[in-house]
Parts: sequence; structure tokens; C-alpha cells
Amino acid sequence: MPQIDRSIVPPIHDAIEFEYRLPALNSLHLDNGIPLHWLAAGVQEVASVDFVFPAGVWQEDKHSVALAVAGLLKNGTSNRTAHEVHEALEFYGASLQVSAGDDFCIVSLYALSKDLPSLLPVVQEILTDAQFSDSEISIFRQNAIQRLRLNLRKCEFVANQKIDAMLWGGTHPYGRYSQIEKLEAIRREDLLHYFKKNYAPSGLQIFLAGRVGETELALLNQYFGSLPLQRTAQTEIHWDVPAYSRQTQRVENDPKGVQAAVRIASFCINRQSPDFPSLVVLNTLFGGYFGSRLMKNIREDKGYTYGIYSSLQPHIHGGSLCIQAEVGREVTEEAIAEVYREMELLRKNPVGEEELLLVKNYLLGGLLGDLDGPFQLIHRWRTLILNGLDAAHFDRNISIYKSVTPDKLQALAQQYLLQENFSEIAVV
Amino acid sequence: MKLLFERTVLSNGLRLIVHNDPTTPMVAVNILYDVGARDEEPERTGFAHLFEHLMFGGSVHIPVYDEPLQMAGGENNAYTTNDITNYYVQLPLQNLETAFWLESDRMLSLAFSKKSLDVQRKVVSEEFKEHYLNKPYGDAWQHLRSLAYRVHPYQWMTIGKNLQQIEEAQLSDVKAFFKKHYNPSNAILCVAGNVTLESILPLAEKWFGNIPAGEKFHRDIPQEPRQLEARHARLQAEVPADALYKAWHMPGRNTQAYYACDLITEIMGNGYSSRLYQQLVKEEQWFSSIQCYHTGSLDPGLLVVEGKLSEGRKLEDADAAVCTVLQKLLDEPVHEDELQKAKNKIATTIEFEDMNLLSRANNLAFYELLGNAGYINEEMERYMAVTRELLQSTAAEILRPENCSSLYYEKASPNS
Repeated sequence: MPQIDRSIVPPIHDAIEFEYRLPALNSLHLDNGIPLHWLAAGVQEVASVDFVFPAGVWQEDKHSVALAVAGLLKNGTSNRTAHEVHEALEFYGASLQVSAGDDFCIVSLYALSKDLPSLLPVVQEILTDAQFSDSEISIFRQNAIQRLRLNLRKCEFVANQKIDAMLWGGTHPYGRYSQIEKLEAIRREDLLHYFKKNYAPSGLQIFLAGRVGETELALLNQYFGSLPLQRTAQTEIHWDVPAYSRQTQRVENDPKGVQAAVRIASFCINRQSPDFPSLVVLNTLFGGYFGSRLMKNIREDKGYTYGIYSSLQPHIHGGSLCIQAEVGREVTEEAIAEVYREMELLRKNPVGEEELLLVKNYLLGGLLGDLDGPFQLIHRWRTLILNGLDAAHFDRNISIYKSVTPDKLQALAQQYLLQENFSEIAVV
Repeated sequence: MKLLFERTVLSNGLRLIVHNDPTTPMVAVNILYDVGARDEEPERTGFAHLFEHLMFGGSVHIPVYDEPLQMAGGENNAYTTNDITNYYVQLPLQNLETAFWLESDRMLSLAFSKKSLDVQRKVVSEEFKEHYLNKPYGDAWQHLRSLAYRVHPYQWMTIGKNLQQIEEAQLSDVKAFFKKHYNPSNAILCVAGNVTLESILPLAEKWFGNIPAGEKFHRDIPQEPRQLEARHARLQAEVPADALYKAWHMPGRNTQAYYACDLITEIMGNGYSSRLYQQLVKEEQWFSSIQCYHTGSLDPGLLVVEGKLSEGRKLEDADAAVCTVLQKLLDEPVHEDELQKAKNKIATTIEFEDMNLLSRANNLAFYELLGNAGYINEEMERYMAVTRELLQSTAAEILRPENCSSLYYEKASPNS
């Protein structure tokens, strides 16, 4: 067998040279006007249907209601008990996930395509006739409080709650956090009110993907195209964001704790900003992947942590950038200082061409994988549409990922990675 | 859907599986090493996992593993279980050779850097703290394992028995472990993507073909004797609620009864319509949450019920309530619909898992370890073959009180 020289790197094709195409999305309106976006792809006989409602924390007028409605949505209709609803879904091995986020609630059905005729009428029943009975609320409340008590023992949970509140304030939807008293105050009429108002079919958008076609479109029209829609003028909801002031906190949640959960966060831009894709590249390089500056320094060089990441958190009405790590208790201050030092380095020195090429290749190579498969594709489209963006925006992002320069990243670092704009907390 | 694959073995014993998927621009490369925490010495626990970290600390010709892969647009990770250590890479097909270059070099030999060992000992210590010390109930499994296993090395967790053993690891241990376990005859390579055996074999020969076969490792693990008496342990810690853990010994991965046990956990614990959830969380409210699962291990594993008690409930009573629900499985066969539901869930899970390229590559390597990658296509039949009667007789065999280890994890009062 011929000997090979293992010290020579095999030639590679730079991922920045590849083409990235987001396959076209089909859009139509059901008979009553509900928008349906769909995409047929994949080889497995599976489908996902996302029902998206403007029913996030943003739309809450009472604390914890969005979460409770989402948590109790599947627990009974006028025709079926909670157990019967669960049986009807689970018999087919299907899952119906309800996630109330800050801006939207997304109800996602995952199932074998062949089972949609049996499942969609159940989903329709849930989405139009959820009942929120007092007995279900009482069990939910009791268990949610116990779960919260458990979570409040975890330093990372407490740190996540506090950093959001430090930034956005405790009343703003993006800063609001679960509290025992608020869970205790959940009442049926509040849930019903929120449900009727925010899960109304007039606000619904549907996203369908997988091995699907005319049959599935007809089914969706049958069960959701016939719902009566009452178009009411949507009032724009506004929440005040508190004026920023840098805060630092050290909290001892567990005197015997051996690690500190560190969170360092600032306000930042969201997807609508033209700088967002460039900032995605900067964030990746800074702390967004395993080879990032933060990970190399604080894990791989110093061994202070099992993992450290920075992430962009774009919302519909604003955004933030947050660095997070669980670090050894005794090296908390050193780890925090290193985070700021890495910010400073990015402000002072342009990143090297080689490092930037690596980050771009990594980011785009991963994107190629992310565009592989029907659920990934519809997810990407869903994000675009919910943010009021389109395919041209996707193409523009790609071209920026490929071409952004060290100078641009340095300018962004000087704008977005300023220590004085970050609040920080360490919870032991 | 049937997964197609081709299989061969290189002259040094490396098993190669190739799965063709012409629809994806990516390729997945999975290398499974037949070594896990069960192969560790009792005084050197946590070593297989620590070693997994060291596999990223540079190999004989390549100082850094991650960077060339990231430059090639790739992503990778690894995990260690009690049975295996698995490494995987996904990258654009055009750059496939980068993965072969990287993986073959670290199978050939590591750099054995002192700095890497020093840093990864710390990193793993932080991982230990993050997941097992600094979490409520984080140490429960350590206690449960040592209660249930007296002989078999499943008595310790993958992360290890304690921090001290990790901190004591020496470079000489690292070298010996590599020599013993990291050689071609102990590994399975699976490549999945728009590739065929014809296109992969030359690459495999080029990069892996001349790695010396090494000495084949022969496993000789003491098997756990049949448990003949119910075991109990109690511990107290500052947790927000009492928790109950019950574990029964169950058969190993390559048995028909394994599939029956898997279906039992589906029926008892998977989903809101499962028996334990419906009766003990919803109707009788003994627990705020409850799970039923098994460890899925190659050697005989554990079938587990784990629950957090509702406020004001007593562990002894909640334990009895669990036993009552379980007893029904022994007293009468499950309803045909209920068994069908469990099978439907598994069919859906398999279909969804198969959407993912990496998961297909990983599963094919795992079934090859079980004896034949082709088992992956027989899996559903094995589940379908489980009858109500087999389920009932398996439950009767497994869920015996004397086969059970119960751990009462009590909330310490603030003053104690």
C-alpha cells in the first residue's frame, strides 16, 4: 500500500464558493382567507403542520397567561377530556407541541402523512374549543409551581431569569419571568379571554411541509378553511423599554454551589436591521461555535468551563446579545474578565483573513446542512415570513456571509461589543 | 422505509458501512469505537469519557482537530456511554476527504499532549459539576446504579464515580487506553450521503488501510447475578421535593424481551396518555411528574420509574401507588389498542429519526456493533412480534419486587 503524507491537508472546496438556494415556498389562502404556506420535500412519509398565532407573552395583559394557555391547550374540549385528547393524538404516534414564545405561539403537529385525516379534526377541535377546566388548571398550577421551585434551585435558570429582567425590566414581555405568586393567580376567565382573543382564526397562519400534496391541502381547507373569521381591527400593542443602565450582580442562590452561572447581555439589533447578517458572522467568531474565541480561551486554554457561548436573540420588537457559561465558582471573576478582554480584542484588532474565512466556511457549510430536509426548510421560511421578510432577504444574507470584511466586523465590534453596554450577573 | 447499505471489512479489521442517499448535499461520517465506561477499571472510572475529550487534543500529524474541519464547512461532536464511544462529522460532500484525513490520523495515534490532558481534566471536572453536583438530584443515578449493580461495571456513571479519579488521570493511562481500545479492529466506520462503496472504498483504503490492526480487545466483564432481594436506599439532600427512583433489571439489547421491555416503558411512561401519567399525576396526583424508561444498554440494563412527589405525599405511599399501577400489567394483558399505540409511536419515531442523515449513519454503525447493520431494517418487525402475552409474561418476569432497587431521595428539612 502506498505511504501517504498525513501532514498534508487534503484540498478543500471553500463553502463560500457554493450556491445556496432556498427552494420556493408555495402560498395560498384557504376558503376563508387563512394563509397557508407549504413545501413538498423529503423522502420519508412524514409531515409537519405549524399553526402560528400572535399569542406570545407580548399579547399578555396578565402575567403567566400565555404560558398557562399553551400548557393547557391540549387538556380538554367540550367533547373530549384531556385524556381523550391525548389518546386521539398519541394513538398515531403523533406529537402536538405547543410553544408560547415571546412574540408568537406555535402549535406544531408532527405525524406520518397518512394519519393527517385522523389527526387534523382533533387539532381543529383543540384550537377552536379548548376549555381550560378548573380541575385541569388546578393540576397545572400545582405542577408548574413545583417545577418552578425545582428550577429556582438551578443557578443557570435563576441567571437566565435575572439577566432578561435586568435588561428589559420585569414588566416588559421579553424580561418577564415565571413567579410562584403569578402562577397561583391564574384564573380560568383570564385564560379563556386570552385564548378567544389571541387564538382567533383571523390571526392564524399555517405552515405545512414534508411528503404532502393536494390531499393534505384539501384536508387543511376542509378543517380550517371553513372556520368563521371575524376580522377585527388589531390594535398595535406597545411596551416601554426601560432606559439602559449597566448593572452587575453577584447572587448566592446555593451556599454550597460549586459553579457560577454567568450571563452577560446587552441590547442588540434584530433581523430587520441591515447589519444583522454581518453581526451573525461576528457573533459566530466571538462565541457562536465550538472554535470561537470565547471557547478557545475560556474552555480550551483555561479549562474554566465545560462550555461558553454567545448568542443573538432577535425578537420581533428588538433584540439582545447574551454570553453564557457555567464556570467553576472560584474562577468566576477571571472568566468574566476574559469575556470582556475578548470583546476588547475584537474592537482593537481586525480579525485575521484566515480566521474569518474559517468562520464563513463553517457557517455556510452548516447552512448547507440546515437547508437539507423539509422541516429545516419550512422553519427557515417561517422565520422569514413571521419577520416580514422574503427570499431576497435570504439571498442577501448569504452574500453578506460570503463577503463581509475584517473592517466591517471591527466596526460592528466597536458598536455592539462595548463593555459599558453589557449588564452582567453571576449566580452561584 | 428500508435503509440500503453496503458493507465490507478492511484487512486491518476496520468495518466499513456505506449508505447511499442521493438527495443530500452533505455527508455524514460516523466512527464508533467499541469501548465505554463498562470497560474501565473500578479505580479509573470516567476514563473512557475523559479520553473522548482528549481525542480532540491533536493527533500525531495534525495539531488541532477542529480547525481544518471547520474550514471545510464541517461540524462534529462525540459522546460516550456505558457501552460505546461515538464520534461523528457532517460536512459538504465535496470536502469528504478532510474527514477521512482527520479521523484516520487520530485512529493512527494521538499527540498525547500534556497540556491537553491538563485542560481537559479541568473541563471534565466542570462538566461533572455542571451535570452531577450542581443540580438538584444530580447524584441520584450514581446511587441508583451502585444499588442495582453489585458486580457489573454499570454500577458507575459514564462521567465517573467521583472528581478525584478524573483529577488523578495520568498521561501513561491515556497511552495505555489508546493502545488497548483505539484500533481498527475495535471500530466501525459508517459513511452516509451521495456516496457508494465503490466511491468510498479507495478513500478508506488510502487513509485507514495502513493503520496497524493492533491487538484485538477481548471483553471479559463479570455479569450481574440475578437479584434475589428487594433493595432500598434513602438519601437526603436540599431538593425542592421528594423523589422516587425504582429500577428493575431487564434483559440485554440482543434479546426479544428487550423489545417487550421497550414497549412496556412506552405504555407506562411515554406521553400524556400513558398509564403512570394518567393515573398518578392526573387522577390521583401522587406525583407532579413521572417517567418510565430504560437504560437501553447492551448488557442487561435497568427499567426505571422515576417521579417527583406532589407536595404533602409520602414516599412509601407513592411507591405503593406505583406498584399498584404496575401490578395491572401483570394481572391482565394490555388492551390491543394500547399495544398498537405503543407500536405506532415507535414506528413514527423511527420514521422521523431516519430523516436525519447523521442519525442514519449512527444507527447503522450501532446495529453493526450489535452484529449486523441490516438489523436496522428488522427492528420494526421485532417490535411487531411482541404480543400481549409476551408483554405480560415479560412484565411478570421483570417487575418482581425482589428484582427491584428503590431509592428514596428525600427533601432535607432546612434545619437538618
